[in-house]
Amino acid sequence: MACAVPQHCSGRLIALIRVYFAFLLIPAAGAAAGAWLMWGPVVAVIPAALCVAVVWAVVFLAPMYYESLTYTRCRDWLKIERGIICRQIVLVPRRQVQYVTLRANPLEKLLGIRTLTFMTSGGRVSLGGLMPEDAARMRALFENCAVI
Amino acid sequence: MSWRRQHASALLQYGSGMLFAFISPLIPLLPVILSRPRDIILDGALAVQLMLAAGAALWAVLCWRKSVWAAGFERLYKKSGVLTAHELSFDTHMITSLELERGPVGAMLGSVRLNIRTRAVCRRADISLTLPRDRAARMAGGLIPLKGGGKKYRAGMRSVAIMAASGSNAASGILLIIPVILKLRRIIDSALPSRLLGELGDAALAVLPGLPPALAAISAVIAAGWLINFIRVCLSYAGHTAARFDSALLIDRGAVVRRSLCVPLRAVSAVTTRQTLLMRLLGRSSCWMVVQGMGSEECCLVPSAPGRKMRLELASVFPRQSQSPIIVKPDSAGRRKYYTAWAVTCAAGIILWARLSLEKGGVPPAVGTLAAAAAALMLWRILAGALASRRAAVKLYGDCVEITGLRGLTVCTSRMFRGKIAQAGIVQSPISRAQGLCTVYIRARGSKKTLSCKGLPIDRAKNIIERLR
Repeated sequence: MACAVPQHCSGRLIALIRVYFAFLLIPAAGAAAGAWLMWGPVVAVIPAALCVAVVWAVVFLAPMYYESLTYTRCRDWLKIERGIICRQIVLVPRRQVQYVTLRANPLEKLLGIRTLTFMTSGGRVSLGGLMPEDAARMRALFENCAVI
Repeated sequence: MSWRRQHASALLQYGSGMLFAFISPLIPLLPVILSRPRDIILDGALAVQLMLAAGAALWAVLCWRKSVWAAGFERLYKKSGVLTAHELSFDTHMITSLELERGPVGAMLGSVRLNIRTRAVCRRADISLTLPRDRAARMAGGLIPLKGGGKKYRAGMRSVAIMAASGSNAASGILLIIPVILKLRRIIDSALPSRLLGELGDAALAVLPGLPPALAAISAVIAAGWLINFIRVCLSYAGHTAARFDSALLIDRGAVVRRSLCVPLRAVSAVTTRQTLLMRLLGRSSCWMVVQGMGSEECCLVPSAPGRKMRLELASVFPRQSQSPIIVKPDSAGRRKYYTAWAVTCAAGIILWARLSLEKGGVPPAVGTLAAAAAALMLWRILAGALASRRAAVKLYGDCVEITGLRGLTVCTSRMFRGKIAQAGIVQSPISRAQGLCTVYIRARGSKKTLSCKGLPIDRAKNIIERLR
């Protein structure tokens, strides 16, 4: 099985993950403020710690996750590796891919990236943070290979 | 290739859920609103509600406008999504089933829903399109051509009723009725569920006097659930017909919503004959197909037919190679595995109950009723096990493997085509190992359930599994 080199997704994925984490900051900060006002600073320590954890995730975790996420296009397989604490390796056989969906939510559209979902007979596998041209190329590569 | 929009009736589908949510609270309030003096808070609330309903309608229009499809050379394309854009396309040779769904609203507006499925694991159809009736029929004919019309099977209402009566599950009926009651409660009357429950309990007490009121209500709810599911199954399988063509099967069914399912023969992985105890008493069985891409849903081929007729129907739809099969059956020790554990549990329960009833004070009537219901269920399971033990076998033919076993309370015989077997194996518990017995299980491609045959001699089971490779 001749394999290509592992590739990273677009660097804009870091920004996307940061925005997703930043959304968590809103309820965490709200809870911290509410706890401070209602029960005092001692109780507010827990939601404040959560806020710090979210800020840490925004600053450090997003690039770490990006570094951990690689994909390798082989002749018959697609290999996706991801995860910081729990490492996950997903192998998608080309012949099992029934079709590929291309998705872009408003944030992804803003950042100019796309998510591919490989629909196989055993489940679905998603790969996010691809540049539109890479996504289109990969979609063309993985379609029309399935057997019934 | 030109992009097309769906039929305008798709708007109803996109907007129905949200519109109902926003408009339904207004229906009971309308008479109050019209007859009351002016109130700024109520007027404001009404305006907000109406604006939300208008927003829901606008959202439905946007969804409809953004959802487009196209048919290219042997390929289907679909784009959808207002905020999040989705694009998908697949080759038409990937299609494993096509379903045309004609509901009463669609019949009035001249539209049909076309559900297209592939082998991909998807909760609903991979592509669902609401199209004008003639275009949908043309498209379905183009995607799966039906040539060389062969034998057609038509199920009578009696067959459908027997299937519904023997297979109906009270839990499904209750699950069906709960959301309806909750919705009605929100619209009509908040005391509706308790009033309904009370009336059902009274009805049960009239039939079975002497029952405690709580048990009467529970048994009435179970009976109502069973009846509702019976009616639902009867309506969805009324007018069932199945026709075999050269390379596809066409199954039509349904009284209120008419469904035409077209399945290419290459997508069928297994054919299963099911027989419950009630069907056994009537000498009938039903036949279902496992179609790739349909998940846990199985397609009904024959709702219920006498054994001989069923064999003839099956032979005409899926002919089997006539060579003599290799058969593995459980011996007498293996046959006992189907019912012994249940019989021992049942006997222990009866002994315990008898001892308790001899003691001072006896058994409370509610416990007695529950114990009797549990004993009846166990007895039903023992009888089903005894029936399955006589039939259990694994038969290996040239082109397929036939396995008979017990699934729940139903004896199933599944004929799986050898190239379409996803998983086959042997399981041995410590007790089985000591007895030299094992359980063989086989799962067809596209099915989520395995069918197993217990109590087989290990050496012969290993031999048959080796031959399956």
